[in-house]
Amino acid sequence: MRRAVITGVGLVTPLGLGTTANWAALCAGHSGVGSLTQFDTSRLPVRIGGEVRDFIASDHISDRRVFKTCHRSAHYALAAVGLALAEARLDLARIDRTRLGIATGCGEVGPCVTEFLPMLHATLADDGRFDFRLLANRGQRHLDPYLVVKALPTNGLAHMSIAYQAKGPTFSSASASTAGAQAVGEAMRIIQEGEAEVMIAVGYDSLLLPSVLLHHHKLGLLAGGPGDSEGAVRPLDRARSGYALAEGAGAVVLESAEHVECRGICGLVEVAGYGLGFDPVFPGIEGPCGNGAGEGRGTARAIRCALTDAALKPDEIDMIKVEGEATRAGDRAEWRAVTAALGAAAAVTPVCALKGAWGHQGAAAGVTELIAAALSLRAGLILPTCNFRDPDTDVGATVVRGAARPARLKSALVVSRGFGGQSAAIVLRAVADGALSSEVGT
Amino acid sequence: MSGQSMRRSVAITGVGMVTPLGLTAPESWATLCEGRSGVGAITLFDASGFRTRIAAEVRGFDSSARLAGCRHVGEVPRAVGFCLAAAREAVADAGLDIGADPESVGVSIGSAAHLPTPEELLAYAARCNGHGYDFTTHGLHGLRSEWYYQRLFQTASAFVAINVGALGPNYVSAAACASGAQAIGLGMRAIRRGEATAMVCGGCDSVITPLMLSGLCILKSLSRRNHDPAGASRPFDRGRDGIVLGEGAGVMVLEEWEHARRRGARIYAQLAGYGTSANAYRVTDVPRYGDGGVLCMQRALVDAGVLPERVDLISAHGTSTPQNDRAETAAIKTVFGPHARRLLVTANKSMLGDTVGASGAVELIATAFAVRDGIVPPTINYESPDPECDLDYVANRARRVPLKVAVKNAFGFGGINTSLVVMRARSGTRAAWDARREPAGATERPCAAL
Repeated sequence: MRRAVITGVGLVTPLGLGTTANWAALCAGHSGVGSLTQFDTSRLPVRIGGEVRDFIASDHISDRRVFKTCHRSAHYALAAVGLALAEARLDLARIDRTRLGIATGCGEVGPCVTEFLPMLHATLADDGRFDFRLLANRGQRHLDPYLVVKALPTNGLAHMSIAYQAKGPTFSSASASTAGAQAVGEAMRIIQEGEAEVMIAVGYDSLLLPSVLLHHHKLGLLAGGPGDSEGAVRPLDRARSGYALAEGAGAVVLESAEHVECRGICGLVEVAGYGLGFDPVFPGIEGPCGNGAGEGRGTARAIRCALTDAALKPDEIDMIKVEGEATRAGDRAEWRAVTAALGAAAAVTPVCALKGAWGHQGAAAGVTELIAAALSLRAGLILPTCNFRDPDTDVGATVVRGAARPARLKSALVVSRGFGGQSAAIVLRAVADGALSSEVGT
Repeated sequence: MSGQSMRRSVAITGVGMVTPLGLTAPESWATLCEGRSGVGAITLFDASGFRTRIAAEVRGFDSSARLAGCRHVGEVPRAVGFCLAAAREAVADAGLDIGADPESVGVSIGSAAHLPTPEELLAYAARCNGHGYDFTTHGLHGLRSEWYYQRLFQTASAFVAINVGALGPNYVSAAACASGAQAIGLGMRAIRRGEATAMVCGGCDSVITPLMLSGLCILKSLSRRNHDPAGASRPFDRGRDGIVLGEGAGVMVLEEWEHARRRGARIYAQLAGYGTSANAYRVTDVPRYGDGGVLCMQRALVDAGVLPERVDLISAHGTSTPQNDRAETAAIKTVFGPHARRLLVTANKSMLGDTVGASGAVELIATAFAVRDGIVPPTINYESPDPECDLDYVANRARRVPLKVAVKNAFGFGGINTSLVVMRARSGTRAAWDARREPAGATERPCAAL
């Protein structure tokens, strides 16, 4: 079985662009969550979120068609991929492009409802009815000509493949927070199975739309009434009350270990294990699986599978990056899953959650948070969980407060759970100089 | 791992369909073989003002009967309703007891795109004061969560998993028109790797909506043959002028071969190969010679361990657009060489319309039936040959011919392609061709950087 190694990462988050800015802010325990400025929130029930600031798309994207035909989140994705490839120092001219593939996890790409207002004005009949004939004759002219194009998750993937002439295998998922993690996991499998030498895995999302905000608020998932800001999102804390929606993108470059060796580098971290599962809870309904529902049985399965895949025992995991969505029920169910899968090791293994720092980046989170764990392994530092103060009896995790804590880290477990029940776990393993062998010992 | 050389094989043991041609899989398959079109005037809303006023609608779907006892939230979105019904049919058809080991069974469902409904837009418009929303007066009253779920890609996959009780791997495939095919390919891989014993896989979509129709009319991608609905979808015919929208769902149960055999399941066919690729060409066009299609068909054949000369049938993507059908024909010729003249090519979209995210799954199920029964459904409306499309498209009348290996193509928007390989299950022969070959991607590959 071939091994897959991450050689470059790219981040576009509310804490900044690129690895350096994000890593410094994460280590210092900073939060990128704040008052929303992209639209008027004065008459909305929620006013905070994690916005990507100071992002100039044209600094990162040369193909001008992208600006017209792609959703904003795809701009972030293309920027993150560019950053990751630059960091990997891959000379694309020397790569067989049919062996270069792309895996994406895509989130919200729908238009903001306000974009439809001009169309609506032209489409409403005198009695206020939505008139389909008026839509065809008048309203249609006010629609974005790329309405359908933008709403397709393959649009971003297509632009990436064009930008880098990547004709290798593809994977395109839209399983919310888990989407990005699945993109990394499937990219790893594609390399393991020999279908590609290099894979780009990217997660991207922009949940900062009034309609998304309102729906999540209505479901009771969001933190922060009017007046609250940076400190509102408190994963794993006793006083947690929900997450803040955010946006961004994360991208990683994965290469086969042989390819990494050929290039004479050692890479950042190895993707060593991958597992999936499903928790049958959907807002409003519970599954027929009885106590499997709220207990995170699917997440526990995902973790067990990832550990088996990486051939690691629970006590060999040195840190856990949890989803930590910061809702009361979510963190509780996730912690039960972690405990069910890891047993006694769960309580003593340091845990970190990143929703306080970046907000909920949706499909991007699966990759951005995995990158944070990878950088932790590399630096030997466990990141603090932003806004964590008081432990909860429901969540008996070992959480780092304040600033990053040095530790000897060889492997990390990364857990992702999505809105809808999909969950994924990935095991990352540190690579030491010279220690990398292209084949697992038989 | 010692299991490497004896790769697990994957059997198709249950199928379910809700399509414009029938409300169950057997009914849809029978209509496909008759060569009847499911296209007609749009009835779901008043489309009389649009450039395109025709589509292949699902007719007579009784959701209260088909979804009786299902767990869901509020009103089920149309596509998700089709999907739940098809999934139930497939699981019942397979006779699989998922409750015996829920963690060993996964779900993988794809769909293409979702736009808000007019109802939701109106609700927001009523709360808009020109600059932004005002939720201080009306509050959130009347803001229905179903509107949001309707737009989420993961709803179908989650609802299916909840209702069949599967806690294993759960994929939400979003690869435009290749969504259903990608979902099935992912399911096959999960079984092969030992991550699941069975996967409930497929696709669903219902994009015959006012906004989607508007958006597609603007892009000029739809057929305008409004005067002749049944003749509008004419893949590979010289007179083809665009896509005819369809809707529906196709779901199948994939199962590890030995598991299926041990419990005495009926096996429709073997799913043997999966390949993907990107055109890396243009977002709204395809390369003239179908390069990306060549790569994904080749990858699927390598994955299945099948030589191109062994292929008897190709179930084409065949969208009835001038560009796709020309490029796909060129791609088939490149992959199969002289054998391209001998194999059969059929386009189910001539009858089903383009069921978008469901198409890959629905048409793969039809391919499994074809291989099992030795019947190739026709490409209807094939009247005047296009000099650039000169293969045997099984024009207008189904053909009875023994089939061993078939390839299903599904090419998604932006040039994101998927191909799958289906093989006839021969009684008593385990894993037919699989055992002969090393897993895909030999390890001797040279380092690309050198």
